[in-house]
Amino acid sequence: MSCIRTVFSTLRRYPSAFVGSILVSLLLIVALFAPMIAPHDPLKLNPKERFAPPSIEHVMGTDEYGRDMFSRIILGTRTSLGIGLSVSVICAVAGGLIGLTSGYLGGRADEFIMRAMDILMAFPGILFALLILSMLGSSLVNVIVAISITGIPKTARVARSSCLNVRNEEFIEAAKARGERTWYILLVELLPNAVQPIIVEASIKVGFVILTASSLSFLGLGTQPPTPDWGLIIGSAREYIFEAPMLIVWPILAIAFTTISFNLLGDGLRDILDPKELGRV
Amino acid sequence: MSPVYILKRFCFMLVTLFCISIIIFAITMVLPGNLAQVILGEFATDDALRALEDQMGLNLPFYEQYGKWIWGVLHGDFGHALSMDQPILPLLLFRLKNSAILAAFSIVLVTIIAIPLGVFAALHRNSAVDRIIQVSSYVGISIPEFATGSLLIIAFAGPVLNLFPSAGYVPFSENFSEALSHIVLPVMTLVIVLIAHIMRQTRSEMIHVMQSDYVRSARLRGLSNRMVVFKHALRNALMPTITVLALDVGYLIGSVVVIEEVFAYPGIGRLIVYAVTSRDVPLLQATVLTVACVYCLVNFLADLAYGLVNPRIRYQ
Amino acid sequence: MAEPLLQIDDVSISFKTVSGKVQAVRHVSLEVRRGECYALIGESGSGKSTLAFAAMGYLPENGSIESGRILFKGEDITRYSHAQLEKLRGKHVGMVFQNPDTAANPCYTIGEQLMEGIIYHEKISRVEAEKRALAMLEAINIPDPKSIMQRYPHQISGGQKQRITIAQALLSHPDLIIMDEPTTALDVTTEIQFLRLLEEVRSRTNVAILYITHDMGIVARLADRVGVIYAGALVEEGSRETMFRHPAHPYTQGLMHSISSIEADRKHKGYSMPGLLPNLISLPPGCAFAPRCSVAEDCCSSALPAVQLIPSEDGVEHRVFCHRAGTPLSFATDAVEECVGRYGGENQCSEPLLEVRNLKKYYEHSTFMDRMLRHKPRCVYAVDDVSFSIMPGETLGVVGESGCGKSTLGKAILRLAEATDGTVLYRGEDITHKHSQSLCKSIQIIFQSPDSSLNPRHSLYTILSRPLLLHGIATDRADLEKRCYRLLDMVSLPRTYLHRKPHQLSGGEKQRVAIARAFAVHPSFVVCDEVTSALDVSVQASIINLLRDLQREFQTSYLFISHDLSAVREISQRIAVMYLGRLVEVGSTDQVFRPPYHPYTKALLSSISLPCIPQPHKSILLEGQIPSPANPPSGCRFRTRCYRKQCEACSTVTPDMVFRDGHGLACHLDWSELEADTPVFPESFLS
Repeated sequence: MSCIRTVFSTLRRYPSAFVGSILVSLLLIVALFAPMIAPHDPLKLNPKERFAPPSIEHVMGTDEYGRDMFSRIILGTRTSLGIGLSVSVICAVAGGLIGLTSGYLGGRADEFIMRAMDILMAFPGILFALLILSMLGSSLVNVIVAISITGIPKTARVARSSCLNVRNEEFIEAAKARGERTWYILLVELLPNAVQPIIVEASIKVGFVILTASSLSFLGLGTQPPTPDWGLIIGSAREYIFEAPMLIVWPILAIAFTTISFNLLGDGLRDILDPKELGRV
Repeated sequence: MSPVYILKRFCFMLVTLFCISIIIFAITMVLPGNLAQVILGEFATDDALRALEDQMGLNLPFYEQYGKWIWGVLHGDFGHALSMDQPILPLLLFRLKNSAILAAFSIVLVTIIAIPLGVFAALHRNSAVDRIIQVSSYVGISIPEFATGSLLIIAFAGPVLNLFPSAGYVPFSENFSEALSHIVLPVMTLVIVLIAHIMRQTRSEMIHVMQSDYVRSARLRGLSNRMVVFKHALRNALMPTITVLALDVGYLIGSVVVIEEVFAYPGIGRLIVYAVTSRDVPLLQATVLTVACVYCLVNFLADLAYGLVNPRIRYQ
Repeated sequence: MAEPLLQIDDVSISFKTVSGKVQAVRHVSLEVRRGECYALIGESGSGKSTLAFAAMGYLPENGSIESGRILFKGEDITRYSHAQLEKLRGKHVGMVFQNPDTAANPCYTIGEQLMEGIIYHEKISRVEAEKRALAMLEAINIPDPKSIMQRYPHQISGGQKQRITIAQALLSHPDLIIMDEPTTALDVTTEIQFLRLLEEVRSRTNVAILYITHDMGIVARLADRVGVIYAGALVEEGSRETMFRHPAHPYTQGLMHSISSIEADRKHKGYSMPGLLPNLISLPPGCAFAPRCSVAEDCCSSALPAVQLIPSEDGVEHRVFCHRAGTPLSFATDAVEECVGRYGGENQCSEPLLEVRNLKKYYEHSTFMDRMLRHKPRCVYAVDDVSFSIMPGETLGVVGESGCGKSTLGKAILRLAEATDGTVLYRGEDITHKHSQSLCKSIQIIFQSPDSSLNPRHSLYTILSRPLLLHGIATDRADLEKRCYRLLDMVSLPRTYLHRKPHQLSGGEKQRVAIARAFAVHPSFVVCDEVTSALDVSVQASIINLLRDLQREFQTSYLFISHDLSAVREISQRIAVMYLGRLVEVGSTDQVFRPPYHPYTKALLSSISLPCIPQPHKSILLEGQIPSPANPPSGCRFRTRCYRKQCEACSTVTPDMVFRDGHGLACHLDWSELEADTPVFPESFLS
């Protein structure tokens, strides 16, 4: 109980984290219960009702195939959050492990791993993803794989520098002097103190990944129709940009809303987890 | 700056490029679908396929194929684009020039708008203007560039307010004002996305520097506010911004790819997307390698610039 | 009496923070007169720096002056406009900061930063400004001022930088210089150079100095008048002589008694003040010191004490803010129970507990490029050929300036840094490269900063129980808890602390936890690496007392590494002096503090500022800077700064350690010559 109260009082002091966490929870709920919330089948074609204006039946109108826009946007939450969350988790785990190990080992191993990461980072992100997708073929899973691979080096760098900060702390030396094994030092002493920047990076990454994924779908190289995906909706509605501009505006609003929510949460987390603030929380 | 530093950065750039070229070649080589099959079509006979494979060296070991390719590239021979049946190099240069125009305009505009804006926001922290700048930059980084582009088309190229063309390209040599009006919207899109990014970076760096001991000591020596801000704080705040600006070129390259698609602008980004969708391996290799080269070069130049403004590196 | 220059009149300053309003300064009134040196003493968090910044019209964004006036030459600077403040700072008041490394802008040359102020304020030409800056650097004896002017801050040493900030402050010929702990970041030998320069400046100009510090030795050396500040309020003020000889406020008296000093009585434990600095957010209504005061009465905790004037011998006003001023206090402490017989004299054990033979630790730092180009590996000679031994139950103090390798030595013994060469013997067994659980149990380490040595994510229970579990001392939960409680008792921390996190404890308490953790496994040898230097003066004594008590109880040996000679003298039976990775002198505490001295030891000892008036000793100023351990001088490492006559061997042959009666010196000079040296301290000080 007191734990919940601490979390709540902390959140109240950091408005961006507070708003961000509420919005993100809202999005998660929508994504989880999307089929129940959506009034229509998002895939059902209805040639009679093409480009229907917003009405009570179709809150956001219908698209070029007469599919209900609102349902497609709601279902699109699943795709976007699915990609965003899984990529940031993959990056946090893989990048975190690489970075922490590299930082803890130090020396030549560290130099080698970090140089390799530098080289991967020398690829403009979306280009790398394009290249990987062209190799693997376009599908939801491949989009996740491609964006994860481009995102890991950055997380690894964050994890490494965070690890280097902690590695020189005296409690690590104290643990060594006590005769602790390496895995204990890494997991019990180092990780809890080095993990915050990785968490912050991961939460900020969600928004970024959603943007990248929607760009890929827009180019026709990401998720494939008829999956309800915001980028894809914009891509296909582009042909009717002047006839039905709202078909583009709705998914843009959805993307912006989601990204802003996660960015707010990430920025808030950064403030809260700032080591200078730790004493106060 | 010591020549050793320059040499070091230069060598690192070469090594990076070498590794990247291997990665690009390796990835494109394992593309599903045999290259010879793509060229000859579905109904080619096995013999014809094998003959072409031999002719193109597709049966050689990987390193030999790579060697042949990179040797050609180093001599300016990027091979033939399969889907268009024309040599790649002229096409590449033409497209690269078009993209460079977009990028150059954007970078210059972003630099002259974003940095002063960021400094202003930092100096008037928590003021109304700062809040507005903060919120709009937040929105700026939260909307994908193709969305911004589409919104701009709706706003400025639609039936209501038809100020600029929504797509296409006119060379500058042909009709200057037409050419300019064609790049207004793409450049605007790029600028909006990047301004938000650079401005946030400048602002947070400036705030950090303004709280440093040496800025406090400059104030306590009775220097004027102008000297404190522009002489002592700004230079230190801009040092990391140079690096971020260079990293943002990578971001810009990604944006260019998308935006050229939105505005049907014949730049290198669109060429890459075309190469991917039409499975044109030599074209894909050539375009991606070119873009990676540009990016590495920009980072190298940024390292040099950073070394020039930072005395710690200049006098090592 | 000189006219007042800076008058602080009933000033209160507060800060808005997340947790509430912090009352940093409360109703402080004091004045600094023309040409005098006023020392403001206080512990960390007492508000002394805030006051100094306020005197320059500078407060952080969240701070505000709630009441009172700050007058400079009769004008209230709290009402100054921006332009007036600029002029005040640029022309009339200079400032020297605590950390010289961060106070200079890394982007501009020293010369540029020296000149810009006078160019701006006095509208003079660059050429003229350069001339004046050069003249000033010459006046304060900076070697090669022309090249210094063209260097960037990262290219010169900390001590040099601090001298240059003085030049910077003096350039505009100010009436007042405010110094905020200017020597805290410096070594003693650099500190004495700085203080000497200050004395010189004062004798030449009529500049007044407001000197903020916690170091009583410097106060005794420099100040004309002294103010003591506690929890944001001035508690006492008077002339230096009065304050040192007849302090009236219980806090001042306690502070004076808790300083560990060379002349401290080694037969008794050091006095340490009980209690902690109060929380400045919710201060009690009365005297802020009342909760820690041994003579406090009811009125102390209910009403603020009014000022009392006490007649002084020298006629300088002596003000005390205390209800019970002048009440006699007792600072008597228990006698130290020496464990005679384990070391020293004839009963000396034949078998040393730990023996270090020719230990070397070089750090190699070749870059990738160096390896490619087959450069010779670049080394930092952190510890170079060090030998000594420690008896059971003995404390060996290791002193030396920062960067001399004393911490690396400690880490090499614990195998936290792999020794490059040489051997470490523990009870006769070679442990140089041995990693075993039983060794980790016998040899422990306590670090400098308790903030860093305790994992902030773990509770005290986790921190204390881990070594017990790891080494199989306790197995079941009940036993574990019982033992943790016993550990807390041992270091006199309340048992209720067991489930707290480190950040809920004060610095001294954290250090106690670190000590408890080290002693949880009953080690026979503990390396204490600068254990007191991160703590406030009033707490240091209690930590040393604790270490001594534990040593008696467990018969532990200590390697006590510190730069604080007073602390080392208090706790050590023997002392080793290190310079640039080498031992230059080893001997019993009495031997090291008396001739024969190694020239470096003598310089080090003579650099200490003692809380005595006048200083009982003459200081030796060492020339130049400490050479880099990556590129040490040939022959005797100290030769580049040695003030004694030198022979050829000094620059070619590394001197061997010569022993007499267990006293070792590594110097090319004859023993008899060194023995004829004059003692640094009078004999009466050392008994």
